[in-house]
Amino acid sequence: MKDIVIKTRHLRRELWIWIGCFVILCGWNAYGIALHHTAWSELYTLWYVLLPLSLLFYLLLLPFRYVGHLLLRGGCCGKRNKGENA
Amino acid sequence: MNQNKKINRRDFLKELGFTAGTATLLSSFPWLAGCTEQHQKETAGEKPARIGVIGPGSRGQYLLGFLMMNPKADVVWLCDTYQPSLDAALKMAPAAKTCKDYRQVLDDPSVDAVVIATPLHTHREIAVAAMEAGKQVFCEKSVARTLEDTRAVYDTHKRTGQILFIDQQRLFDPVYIKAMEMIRSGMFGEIDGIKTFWNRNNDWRRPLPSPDLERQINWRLYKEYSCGLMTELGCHQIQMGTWIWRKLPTKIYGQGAIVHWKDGREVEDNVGVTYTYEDGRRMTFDSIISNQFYGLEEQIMGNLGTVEPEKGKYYFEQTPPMPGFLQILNNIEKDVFSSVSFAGPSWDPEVARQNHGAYILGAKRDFLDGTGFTVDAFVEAVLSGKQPPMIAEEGYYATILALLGQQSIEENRELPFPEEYRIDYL
Repeated sequence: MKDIVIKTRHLRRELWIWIGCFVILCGWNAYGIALHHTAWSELYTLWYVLLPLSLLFYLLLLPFRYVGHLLLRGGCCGKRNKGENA
Repeated sequence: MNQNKKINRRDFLKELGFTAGTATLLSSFPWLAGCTEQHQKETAGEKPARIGVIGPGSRGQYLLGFLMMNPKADVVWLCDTYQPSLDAALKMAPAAKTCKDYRQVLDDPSVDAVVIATPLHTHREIAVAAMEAGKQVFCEKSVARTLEDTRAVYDTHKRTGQILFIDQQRLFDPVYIKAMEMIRSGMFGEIDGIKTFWNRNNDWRRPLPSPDLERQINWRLYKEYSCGLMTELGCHQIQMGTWIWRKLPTKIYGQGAIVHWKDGREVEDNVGVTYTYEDGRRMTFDSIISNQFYGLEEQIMGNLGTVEPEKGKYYFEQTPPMPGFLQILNNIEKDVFSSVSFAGPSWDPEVARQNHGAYILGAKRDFLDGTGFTVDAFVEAVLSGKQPPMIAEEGYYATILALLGQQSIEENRELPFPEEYRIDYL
């Protein structure tokens, strides 16, 4: 049986995606503060909302990324097969 | 009984901020002067106050419990016409002498003070006789059964110079004192209305060992001895008007009836009285004793907030806005899930605000009320020989207003505040 190996570059990529989710939510938070004229301290006082929500976003992205991955791989394989036939 | 042990005198002073800046608090609540550490040191070397308890029934025993816990008080007499009450009290104060005639207590020159917890109609006779005999007096509320009797008790206090405490325990309740301080600071804006109510669901009867003791034991139910809900319950809450507004109402209108407990009683079991002040503000008192859902409360309503001292809480009208981010999420949720109005008028009923408020003392109260502190303050006053300001006057007006409410109910008409019962206060 083959070991599952998660490479460092995969870990780094996942971390960047999660940070991306968090940054988007922070931006959204700033927008909410500006829109509703609430306190700017909410940028850090709402960490208990933003942190779990960013994880949720990250998890929600997974199926979409998987589908995208399959589509991309399908496209590549198709091209490769054509090449092989030629 | 042991409620005072949970919040001892030192804590009581601390709760109220009596640590360094006593002067500010004492200017607003001068009757608390006897509670200061300095005052207590002054009376610490004195011999204990020798006190007689007249009427140690259920309420009298409650007061007796506080006296027994106070090392500065020595209960030397117990007086009651009802032997079982006397026997029960004697178990609490075994060293005390007993008698059935209060005059025996008053004739004892070694007695400094008396606590009167007898049925309401006897208050005048005993309180006046006690003050005439040179005794300091702690009298259960209400002061007396009639307007004339109430005035006579107060006048005797002024004439003789003897100490008179009326057991309006809210004056010594840390929650009420703190709430009053907040109200005076303007936290809740202008107080535009006070709504008080006291509801319970029982017949207000005590068990009888023999039917011929009905009027002696259930005296609260008969008009010869009591004004029922007005003098036994309303008197406490009505005091809030004079305490907060420092004014007397100009008009009093009440209604009441025996609606539920038709068991031969004479006093109403369902009353409502409105006290209207010069500028139109109103204080109401309502009491029903066949439904206890809302219990008792005083809702003190300002344009910026509400205080509910019985719950120990206050609420602001404008609550801090929800964080901007959560507002956005809420709006999204509303857009997705809210129902679409199809036809007909839309109406948003003004149901009670879902506002959890905040505790007046910062946490839920873990004591019953201010009775223990009132008794302690009385003992301090007896030892120092000084009448704390406002105690007798607040008690006097609370009784007068309760009695006027009862009179209005009985005569079914609006009454003006009678000038002859105005005293030099407010």
